[in-house]
Amino acid sequence: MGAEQAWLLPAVPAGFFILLALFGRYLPRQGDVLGVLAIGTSFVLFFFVLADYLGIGEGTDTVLKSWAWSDIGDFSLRFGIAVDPITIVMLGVVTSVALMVNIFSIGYMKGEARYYWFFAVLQLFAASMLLLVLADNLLLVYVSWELVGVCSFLLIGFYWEKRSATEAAKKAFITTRIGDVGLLIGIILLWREAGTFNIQEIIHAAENGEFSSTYLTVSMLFVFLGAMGKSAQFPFHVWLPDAMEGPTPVSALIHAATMVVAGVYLVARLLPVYEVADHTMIVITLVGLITAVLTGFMAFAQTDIKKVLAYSTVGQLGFMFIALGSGEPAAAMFHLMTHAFFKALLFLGSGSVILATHHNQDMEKMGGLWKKLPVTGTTFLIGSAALAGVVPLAGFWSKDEILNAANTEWGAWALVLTAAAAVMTAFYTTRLFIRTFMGTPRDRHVYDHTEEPGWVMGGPLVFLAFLAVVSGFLVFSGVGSALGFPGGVTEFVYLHHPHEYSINWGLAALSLGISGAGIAIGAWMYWGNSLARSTKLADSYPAAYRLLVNKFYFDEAYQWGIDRVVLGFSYIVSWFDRNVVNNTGVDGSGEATVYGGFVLKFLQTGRLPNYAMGIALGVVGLAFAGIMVRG
Amino acid sequence: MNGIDLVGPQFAVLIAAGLALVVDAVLPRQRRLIPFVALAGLALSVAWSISWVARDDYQTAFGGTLVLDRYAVFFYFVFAGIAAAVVLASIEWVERAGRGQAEYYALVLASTAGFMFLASSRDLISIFIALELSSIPQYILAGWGKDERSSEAGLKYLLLGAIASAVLLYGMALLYGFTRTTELGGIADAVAAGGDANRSLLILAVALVIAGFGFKMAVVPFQMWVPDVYQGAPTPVAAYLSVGSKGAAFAVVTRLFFEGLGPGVASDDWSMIFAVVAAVSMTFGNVMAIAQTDIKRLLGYSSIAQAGNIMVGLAAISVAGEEFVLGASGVIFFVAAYAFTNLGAFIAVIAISQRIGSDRIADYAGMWKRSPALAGVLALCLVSLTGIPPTAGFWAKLYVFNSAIRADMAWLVIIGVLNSLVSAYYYLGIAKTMFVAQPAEEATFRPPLTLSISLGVAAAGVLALGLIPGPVLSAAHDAAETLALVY
Repeated sequence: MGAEQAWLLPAVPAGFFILLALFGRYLPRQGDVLGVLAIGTSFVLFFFVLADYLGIGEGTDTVLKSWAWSDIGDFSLRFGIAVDPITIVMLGVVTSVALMVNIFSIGYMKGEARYYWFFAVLQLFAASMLLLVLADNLLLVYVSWELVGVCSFLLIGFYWEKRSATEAAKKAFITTRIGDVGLLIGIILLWREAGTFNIQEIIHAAENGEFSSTYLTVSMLFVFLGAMGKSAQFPFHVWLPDAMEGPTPVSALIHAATMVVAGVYLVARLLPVYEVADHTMIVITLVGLITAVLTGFMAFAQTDIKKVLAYSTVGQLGFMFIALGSGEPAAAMFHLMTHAFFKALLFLGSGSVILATHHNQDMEKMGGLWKKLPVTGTTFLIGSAALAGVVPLAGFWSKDEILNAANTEWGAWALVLTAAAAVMTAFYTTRLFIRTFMGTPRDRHVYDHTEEPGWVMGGPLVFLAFLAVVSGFLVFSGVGSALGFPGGVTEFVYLHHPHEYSINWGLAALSLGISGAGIAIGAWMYWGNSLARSTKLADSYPAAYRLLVNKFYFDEAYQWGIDRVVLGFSYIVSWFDRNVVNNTGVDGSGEATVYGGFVLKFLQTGRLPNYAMGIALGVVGLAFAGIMVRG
Repeated sequence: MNGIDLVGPQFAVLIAAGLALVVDAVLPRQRRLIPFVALAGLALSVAWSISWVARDDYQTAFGGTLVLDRYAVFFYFVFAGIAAAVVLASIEWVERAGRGQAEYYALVLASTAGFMFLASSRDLISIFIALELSSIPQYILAGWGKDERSSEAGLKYLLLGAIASAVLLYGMALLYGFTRTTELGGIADAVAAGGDANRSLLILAVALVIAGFGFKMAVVPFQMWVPDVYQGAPTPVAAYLSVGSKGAAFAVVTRLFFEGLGPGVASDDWSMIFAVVAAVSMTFGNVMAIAQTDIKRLLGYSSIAQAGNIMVGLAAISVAGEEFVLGASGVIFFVAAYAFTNLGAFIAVIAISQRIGSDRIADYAGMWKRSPALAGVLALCLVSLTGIPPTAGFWAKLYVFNSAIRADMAWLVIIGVLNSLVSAYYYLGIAKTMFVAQPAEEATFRPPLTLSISLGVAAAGVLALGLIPGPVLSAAHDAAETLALVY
């Protein structure tokens, strides 16, 4: 089994999806073990692919394999897979987190209705996501892009009896669809000029200057629109916090570690094209910066444990886009990987807390859970520290890379903004941890009924905590050499240039200072069990506080736009459609056709001589016409 | 032995036909086995065809009257598949009809062998013999039912078929008189050498030949028998006629006109005739289908329109080179896709009408609630007939229309697309009746096992060709390329 057989990774869960969807409810334990088995197989296969790829050695950047899908004349569609370092990183992240989430779900979803269906859709999601990262052409990317969107829709709305869940599923789907339309337009524009959907060929075409400058910029910005929607970047960030209506393992897998990073992945894949498309890099950077800062503010005033994490996810995705916009896909992919591990850990940890407190998500009713939940508490602390950027955990190294990239490419202003967002991250992470685990219980009833869930949920937490500690070290050349990719993970990803990690002591000190400052402010404000300082702050600036609680009124503004602008316009269109298109155009031509059928019916007499006459007249007619034309 | 090997796929089918009669005579109590004897024969035929694909050693046989090339073998698979589906779909009906079970299957197999010979014939004589071998059993089958309508259908089909054969034979005689040969390659050489002398005579011959085969394809103006015969004949037989007879006629006409009267020889004489016939057939079939209330008549008219669609590809083979291959492989792929789709639709109709005892479209109301599987497969096939992805019909239409564009016949494609629009009205109208309207009766039901199997295969084929058309498209492409190769 080598890298060429990497298509097996999505194929296995896809097969199990069909099995579970059709027969899951009749299987023992509703087939949950099969779900773990399927994704576990993909996880094992990933190591074969990795070993084979590393063994190929220098000179082979990409392993390609493709199949003809349809050939019509000179128009040919091929579906294929491409395995390169970016893909390898994504494969590892997706299979490992998906496996942990599958195991965790056995505990978390126990006794829920439609248990088998949950596991079936998880398999479909894993298959689609793996297909997305393996795809060698944009059409296949688009297909799997929509497939993961459908899975996200199905899982956000998993508790469809709850109105808020169906509303959130709809919102997520429609918001991302707006971006997806942009992606489709972008793909078509690229295909129109390059004549191919193949990513490698499009990159070559762009690098050889086969596109005109403005055309390329416009196309790539359309593609970026898709990435913004999927990765919930400003101004599409509104759907992700609502998506927390889904079961918590789903939030960990789809809305933290994998699907939402699809946008980052897509831009990283196409980065050589962005680099030659004028003005696009600064757009990417600005979108990332705005998102990172904005969501940092929004996270301050949230009291729902999952929503804080959701805003933090959007912010961290913003960091990745900053790295991409600064021309450092390696830093983005590195942060994508470490973030996947520690954010999945934090989400699963919050799931553990939610289950332990019998479906309470409000931090105001928690506090002091440290003593009751030793495993969850410890792993959550590790995850929080990694998110805040505490040395030497994973988040520190990757965030440092991004600060470095922003500083090198854009200079001080980008560095300052990125650093400010990082301070905010450390601050609200500290708040989150203290309000949940420290201090004294604020709701006795909740506290008394809290108990640590079993090891089926604790195990994945410990495994992810381990990764949150060590995955940052992959950046070091020595660690990389020992594992088979000399130069560390950033050089591994950064195919074309030597890119060994070297620490910038000034920035490292700044980075340390950032997380230290954020944590210190957070601790100063929330340590103990008192909200006195934060309440006082909120009271002193009531307008600012209201702005934060209402998340800058984005949702309200969008609602107004839909009600007044979109529906108003659609009213006009619908009037036109009803009266002009339908009543005159469609009905008119339809009635004419039906009348034609009615008249012609009388030709069909059922009498044999008439039919024979038809044949005779036909021959004469054909011959006469032919001779007239040619003879 | 070598001779038999060369016609092995046909031979296996004919042996099974004889064996069916023998089983009937020797083991009268084991009549239930007969359809399975027929299926075994078809399986052997398919295996024999596969062995030819594996050997990849194509050649002519019997003094050049038959040719065993990729083109012929592709159609062997199609016809064997059609016959297998028809046999499976007939079991219930034939048992209830209660007489002459062995003869029924033997006739189906004999006519299938005729189709296969048609696909491989390269000589006017063998073409005509193969056509009659396939036609005469069909006349009998169309009149197999006990009721008057079936007898009327059989008789009408026989008489009109005889006229069509006579017309065809007259055209062939003219061709022979014109060229002094019956062999297609020789005809091409003679016509090319003859220059423009007697052009009108040649065009008359072409018109007569088109009329003769047009009857089998059911294109306007040779289509009049279709609604009466489809409605009167037993439904499995109607299904057989709608795909088998049509497919075989397209198989032989593509070869005859390309090899005998092809590009550079006489293609300018007939490409416009084909194009006009295609346009008229599409329009007439669709407009008439809208006015129908009986689903079998509707499918009959729809098959006229579909024949027009396939003929768009035939019009496009008049161009030499790569465009020719496009047109011919479009015809081939369309026939294969249409076989799956129309068989699926007919078999679903058989299953439903067995249960509700009616062919009126209005009685299909709410079928979705009564039998989700049947309604689902029928809807899938109707979607494929309309030409909407992700079904086989989409690629078939795309391919054929693309070939016409490449042959500079954009006007024909515009007519074709407009017709697809009209066809969507009545195809999807049936789907709407099944899914939206309230059923008159609530009782649910399932089709018998044999019908379920053939339905499942048809639906799988429609979806497989729609989702991964690549393999069959390239097989069709390779088949078209072997036309006119000399071995």
